Amino acid sequence: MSSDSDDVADKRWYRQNSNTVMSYPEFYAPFWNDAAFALVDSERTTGTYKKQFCELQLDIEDLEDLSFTMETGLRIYKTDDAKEFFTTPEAKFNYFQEEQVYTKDLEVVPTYAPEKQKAEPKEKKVFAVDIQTITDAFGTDAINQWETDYAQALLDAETNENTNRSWRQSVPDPEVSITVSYGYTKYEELTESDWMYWYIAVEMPTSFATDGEILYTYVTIDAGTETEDIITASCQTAFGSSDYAIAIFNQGDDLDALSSTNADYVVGKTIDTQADDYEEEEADHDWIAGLDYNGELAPESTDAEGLYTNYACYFVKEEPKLGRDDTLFDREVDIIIGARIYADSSATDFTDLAESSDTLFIDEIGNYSAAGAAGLFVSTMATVMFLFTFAF
Amino acid sequence: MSLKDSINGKMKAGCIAEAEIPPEDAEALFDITYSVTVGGRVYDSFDDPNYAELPEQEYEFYVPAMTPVQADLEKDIRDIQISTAEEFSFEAEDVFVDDGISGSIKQRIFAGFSQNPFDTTSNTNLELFFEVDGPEEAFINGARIYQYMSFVKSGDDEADIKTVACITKIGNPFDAKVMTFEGSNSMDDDSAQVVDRTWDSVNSEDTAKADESFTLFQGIEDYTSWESWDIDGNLIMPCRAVFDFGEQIDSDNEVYGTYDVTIGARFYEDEESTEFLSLPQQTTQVVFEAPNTDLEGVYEVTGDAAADDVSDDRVYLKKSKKFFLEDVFTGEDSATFTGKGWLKLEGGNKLYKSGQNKFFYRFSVELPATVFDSMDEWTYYFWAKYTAVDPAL
Repeated sequence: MSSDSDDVADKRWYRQNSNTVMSYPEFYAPFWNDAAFALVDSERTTGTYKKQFCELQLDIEDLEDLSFTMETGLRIYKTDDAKEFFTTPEAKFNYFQEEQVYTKDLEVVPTYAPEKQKAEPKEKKVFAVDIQTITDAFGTDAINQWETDYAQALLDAETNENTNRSWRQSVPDPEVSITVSYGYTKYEELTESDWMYWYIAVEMPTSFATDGEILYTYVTIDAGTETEDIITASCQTAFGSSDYAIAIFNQGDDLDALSSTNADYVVGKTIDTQADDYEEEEADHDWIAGLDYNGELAPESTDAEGLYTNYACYFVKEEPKLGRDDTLFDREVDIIIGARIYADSSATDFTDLAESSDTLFIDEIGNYSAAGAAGLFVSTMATVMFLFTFAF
Repeated sequence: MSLKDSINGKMKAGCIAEAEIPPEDAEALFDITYSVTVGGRVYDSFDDPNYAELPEQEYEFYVPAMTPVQADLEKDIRDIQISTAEEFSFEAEDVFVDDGISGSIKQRIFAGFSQNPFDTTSNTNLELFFEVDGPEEAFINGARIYQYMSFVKSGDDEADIKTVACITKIGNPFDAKVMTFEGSNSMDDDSAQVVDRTWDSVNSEDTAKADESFTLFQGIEDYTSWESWDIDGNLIMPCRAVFDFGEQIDSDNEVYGTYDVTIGARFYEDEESTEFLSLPQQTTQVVFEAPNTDLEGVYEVTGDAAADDVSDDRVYLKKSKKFFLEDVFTGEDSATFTGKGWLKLEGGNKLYKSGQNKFFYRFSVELPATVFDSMDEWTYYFWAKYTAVDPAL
């Protein structure tokens, strides 16, 4: 059916694949339903758009659990006699057709009640940034400041502890690490989606961060299949802020689109204009920034001197239970992790914290486990009872 | 391919090869002088490596221009409600007695009315769908399959019998024909109007007037054989005949009612054959029911049942593909169409307590509003192709 097929190219739309047209197709068009073929105003807020629908339906008795590879496209003809056409890019992807029957569970209104959620942390990868990159990124002034802060911290400690330990300890190099972590937040009801939660955290000396500057982190995910595009999820937050924003990029097979060295899409661009060709609008993806549905906070820095902060950015991806394609889980994917710091949203220059590549095992998501959730619930109740006792 | 008598006491062997040429390809292939080289080799048997070479001949061969006449595309959107479905089974050995063909043969006929109740200018059609479902060996390229149905309203002894014959040529869907007869002549195998006649001269005496005749349907798929969905190793040869009432008829039209029908099918080896093999004729009664014009009531769960059902869409396929209009609209249109667009495909179920579940695919294209203004009357051809993935792989 592709536009470059001999059965399509240079043929009128109604002559395409004429030898394989089904005489008695199972699908039918519900043309008593005007909405199924309507041209309507789009709800998209980034411009004035309209949406043309076209719907088919099929009577079903039983649906089997089946995985499909699907290709789709749109051709536009100026007239019925036209053999030439315009075609959109064609998409190829997998999807899972799930056996479904009516159950009362389908009528449950989702509430996402906290006491019926269960967080399951999964894999975490930590990447250390080398000292040369740190020096190049933050400059010698920042390094000097770090050394001063560290020495002062030791003196403060000596004063507090009435000891003398600075003679025993040289000033270590400052360290910067980038952590990517994911897990699942699960909910009990069939109508409640599960969520794949993520954070990307940069742990570095607090002195390297200036309030108001923007920490821009990203993870590029390459599943390595011909039916999945490479995706990048970027998350940004200002130092000193607990607001988070994300951008999702569907970059086909362009692996390095969001790389700090990419001259086409990143170098010389503001955050909002990076890889614009690939960026998905909010209405077109299932990712959300922030801590809603997020089951795990990045750990706070634990250095003895208190000079480090772990700056994290949080986001989640919705994973509906209905029609979930299990082949997208229980497998290893390639990832690229990176972080940049921008002075503000209009800046085109940035501090690059380097990029690292690795693999990440995307575990099977499984079903909500009542036992796990009950444990969480009991734990919550125990905490409440403890405070209650103290109050008296 | 069989030996036939030639002149001077000789025999001749022929072999016919045919190629389907869609009308849109005619310009490129016709009105051209071809250089043709013809040769032949005679083998004693299929596995004999030795052969006698016949001398090659070279010809200049002019294929004259062809000016295909294409009927306007039937853009009517129609709903067909089948009110009659009959199936008869036979043993191939009983039909192809001398050909060694075994297996099952079925003849089916479906009848129903098509119309668009939302468009009163859309005529009502009576549509007859014939099918012979037989062993592949019975479908020899070039042969004719002559399927027919005679019908007269039950109890109306005065009325002429109407017969619709739907004839296909195996291997060439462009050479199908529908013939209509009205009169009292018999269409039985031993009828004088059938015996010793080629397929196209059967009962020519009763040929109906043009405005009372059924016609072909527009579309070759109804005249092309395809693999049987019912019997392994069988092919189905369909044939579709359509009668246009010239208007949208009311539900009290006299055409609706109970009919006595006779159904049959014959196999003619080629265009000249006056002999045929025949599936045994069948008689039965059928009812031509007026179609239900409340299509929503036909296809959707409505009324009290809907009130008690759960019909919310259960979307589980949701894909979006962004594109830039500059990459899609090229040439003179590239300046007109700019910006971003999205091709979207949703799929899912409408689940009902009653079990009358529906599955749907919902395509959409989202474009800048002004772009749609520039595409008035253009045709949007959404497509999706899906292939089941073998879980064992």
